[in-house]
Amino acid sequence: MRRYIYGLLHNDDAQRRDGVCYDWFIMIVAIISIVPMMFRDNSAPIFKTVESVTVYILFFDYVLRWMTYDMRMKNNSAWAFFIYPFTPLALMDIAGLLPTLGLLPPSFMILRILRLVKLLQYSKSCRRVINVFRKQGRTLASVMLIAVAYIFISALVMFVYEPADNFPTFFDAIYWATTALTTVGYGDIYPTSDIGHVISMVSSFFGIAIIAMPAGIVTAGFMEELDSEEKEKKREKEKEGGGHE
Amino acid sequence: MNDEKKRELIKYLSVMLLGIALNIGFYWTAHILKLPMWLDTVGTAAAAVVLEPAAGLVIGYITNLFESSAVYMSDTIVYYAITASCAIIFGVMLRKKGKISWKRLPTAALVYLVVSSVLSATISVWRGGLPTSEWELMIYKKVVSAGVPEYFALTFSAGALKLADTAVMCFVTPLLYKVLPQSMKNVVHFSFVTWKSPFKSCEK
Repeated sequence: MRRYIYGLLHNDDAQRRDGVCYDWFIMIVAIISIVPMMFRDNSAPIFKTVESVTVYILFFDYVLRWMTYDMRMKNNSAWAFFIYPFTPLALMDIAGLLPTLGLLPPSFMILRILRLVKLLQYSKSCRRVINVFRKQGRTLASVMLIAVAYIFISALVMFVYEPADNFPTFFDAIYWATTALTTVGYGDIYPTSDIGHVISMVSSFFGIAIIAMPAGIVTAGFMEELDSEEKEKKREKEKEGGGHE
Repeated sequence: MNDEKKRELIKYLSVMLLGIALNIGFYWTAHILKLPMWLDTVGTAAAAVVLEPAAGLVIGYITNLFESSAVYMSDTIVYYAITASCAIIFGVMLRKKGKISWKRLPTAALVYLVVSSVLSATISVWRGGLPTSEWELMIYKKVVSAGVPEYFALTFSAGALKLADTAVMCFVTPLLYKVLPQSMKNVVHFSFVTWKSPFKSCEK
């Protein structure tokens, strides 16, 4: 029975119909569970019922994952049962459920959003995106480092040269640099000195380049992932064809 | 699914149902007779030993779901941590090279007693600071009035009730194991490895 449940939960190749149904079921439950968050007044009994029922279902999914974790670890070790509650995904699952049970202060209600982590666990598209980020992690990290360094340097220059009225704190300067680099530019904070204008212009140019780079890397990685999946499928088909002959 | 597998599944589910019935039956008995114990983990421990720890985890969940939706508030589902610890401690510690070793029962019972008392006190503190059952509250008040700090008083009062629970579990579990036919026992062999290996396999 546990093998069956394990197959149901880790239906990575979407080969089992019941597994696909279970994936969709949990994803829908996770989405429904956060619907009450979309209303200002979510104290209506219907919302409470929705929250309670969905939390019980998601908690059951947590229990199923716990009871099959030794199979996930592939060494059939009993330690798996002790380790599972402390794994990052299990902690996120529990953190997403606790606010509804009233065991965390109201300020932690936002943690309910962690229930959407289920989408990452069950959705094939989400898993694909995670794979891309994992593979391109180093490249993305170096681009991020350049962006952070640029934000910091331009904010520092701006903070030093601009009048205190424009940039009262360093945090304001960081805020300005971030919105300028990402080409958002709300316009609530802006430079007035000549140096400030020059930095602002350079930031705008840099912003386009730095923001476009990760987008390009992720897109290329995504295409590569899809391509390798296609190739894998073809190879499997050829094998099956060869096997029949 | 072939007939043999179907039969195995039916046996497995029967033991699970028995575990749930034991949990709820014992719990109601203790509740109605106002006994100084909970007894809602007896079936969990029995199923974890007879079948496997995973079966205990599911039985525990169903029992806690019943209790939190029919008897207490929905937030009491967090007491599942205690039920889960029961399933894991008894299901794992009593197994030695694929066989049930009853010599390990006292150690498992002691570990469960300590773990469940600490967990129970911690959850009680988290939920508002007071115990849930009347007996526990009475012991707690007496211990606090003797000058013991609140958290230790909670642990002690939970431990007193858990001691009775553990004693019943230590009696019922071997009894059920001996009464049930061999075909209903699913002796799972776990390769107990050193502390290093599981973390290595996690990284993989």
